[in-house]
Amino acid sequence: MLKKFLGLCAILTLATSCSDISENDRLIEMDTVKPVRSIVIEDFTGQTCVNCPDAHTVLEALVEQYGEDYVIPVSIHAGSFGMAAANSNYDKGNIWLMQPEGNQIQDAYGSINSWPIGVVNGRGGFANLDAWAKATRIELLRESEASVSVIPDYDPATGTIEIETIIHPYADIQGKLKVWVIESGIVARQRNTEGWITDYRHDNVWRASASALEGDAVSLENGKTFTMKHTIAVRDSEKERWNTENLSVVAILGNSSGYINAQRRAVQRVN
Amino acid sequence: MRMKKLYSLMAMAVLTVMGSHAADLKFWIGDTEIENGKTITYSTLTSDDLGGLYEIKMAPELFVSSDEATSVTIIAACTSGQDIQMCAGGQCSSGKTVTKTASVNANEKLPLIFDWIDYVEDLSAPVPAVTTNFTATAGSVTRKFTLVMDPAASSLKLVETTNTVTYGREGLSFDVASPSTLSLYSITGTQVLSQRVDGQGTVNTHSLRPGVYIYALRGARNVTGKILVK
Repeated sequence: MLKKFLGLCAILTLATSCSDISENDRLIEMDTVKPVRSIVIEDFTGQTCVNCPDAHTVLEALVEQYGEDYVIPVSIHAGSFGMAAANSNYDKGNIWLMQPEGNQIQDAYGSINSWPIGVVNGRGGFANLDAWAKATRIELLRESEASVSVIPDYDPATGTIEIETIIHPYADIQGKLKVWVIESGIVARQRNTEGWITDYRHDNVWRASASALEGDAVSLENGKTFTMKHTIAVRDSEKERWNTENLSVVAILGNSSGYINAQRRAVQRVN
Repeated sequence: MRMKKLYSLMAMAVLTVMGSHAADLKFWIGDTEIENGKTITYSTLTSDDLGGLYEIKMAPELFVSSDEATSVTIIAACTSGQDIQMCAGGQCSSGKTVTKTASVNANEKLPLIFDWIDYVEDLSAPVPAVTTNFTATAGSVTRKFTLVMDPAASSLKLVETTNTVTYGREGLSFDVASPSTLSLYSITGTQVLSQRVDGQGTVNTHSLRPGVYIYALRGARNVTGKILVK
């Protein structure tokens, strides 16, 4: 009884001791972000991870907010909740998305045992998805030392994608260029808290690397345009079947501090 | 202004005294409270046909609650050597020991989203007994229990996750909205049973020899699956 009385006194005291805040100061609007570069969000995910669809929703919201030219999500299936692509059977509609490289990409950032988790623009290590929005905002406003353009062309006659990456550096840079193939619109299983969703649409799925996985070493001179070419074969087997109409290539220039700039371009069919 | 600060300090001191009340933490399985320190058993095994691969799962509905809003740390340690997984608090983790910290609202049950899962190509593969010790801690309060998941502990066999056809102690149970044909085949393809079904009911399978059987329900909905008769 005494506790209740004291509690009531406390509440009444607090209520009368609050500072007055004018109505105009109660809501502070953030300035609109005008991105000065493109950034990459590496989302480590898995088809049996029940909370991972939440991360996909966050990524969609960030792309919606800032534009697909500026926010480039890459969903990398990895870890305990990934399902190995080697167990797929496309002919039976059995599609799994974890490549062995996915675990290598994840392991390069360190050891984790919780999913979903991500890395924003190659910087700051693993971040929970509730930290992505703030990190994205910060990265989009960071000045970049180079611009990156990528041109991916698919030739059905050869079954390959020819990729040209063009970099305009604004400083001398010793870095690495990653050139990754991603695919959207993959309809495959995904678990959520209700169970299996059999027709879940997987977007921005990491499929393969046309460069060395950790990136090809590049040495860039201020003001001097740099070009690099890569070729990668389109995969078409019962284990893995790419839909060339839904493929994109992401070119990422980075160094030991993180990603400097990037571009994503849809694969265009030639011939 | 000085008086306002003094009143705020006094109020905070009072609230601190009140806050020394220890949270009443509880574990639940479904709607049943688990007594502190108790060992409980769970024996329902479900399977999902993923197309060439089967997911087998034991997933009791576990919760933790508190009589006041607080932060709870839950540790699930599998002592029988298997990897288990838990997704409480927003992220999923797996391993032999999984630790999660989550915020709990007063008198609301927080789902632990806990399970043991394996992927097999053959449903007749043996399923292990999985024993896990759970500990929940909030401030100075700790609650514990042990969960033993063992499908051999029950006469229930593999149960499909769809509710249209399930297999239990009595046989193959069905729940269909329109007339359908329920057939059962041995693993070699021999039909061992075929029956017209409608509404709800159970087809007796006591005469079946132990083994894996494939059932097929054909009607307004087509459902197929496998059962293991022990």
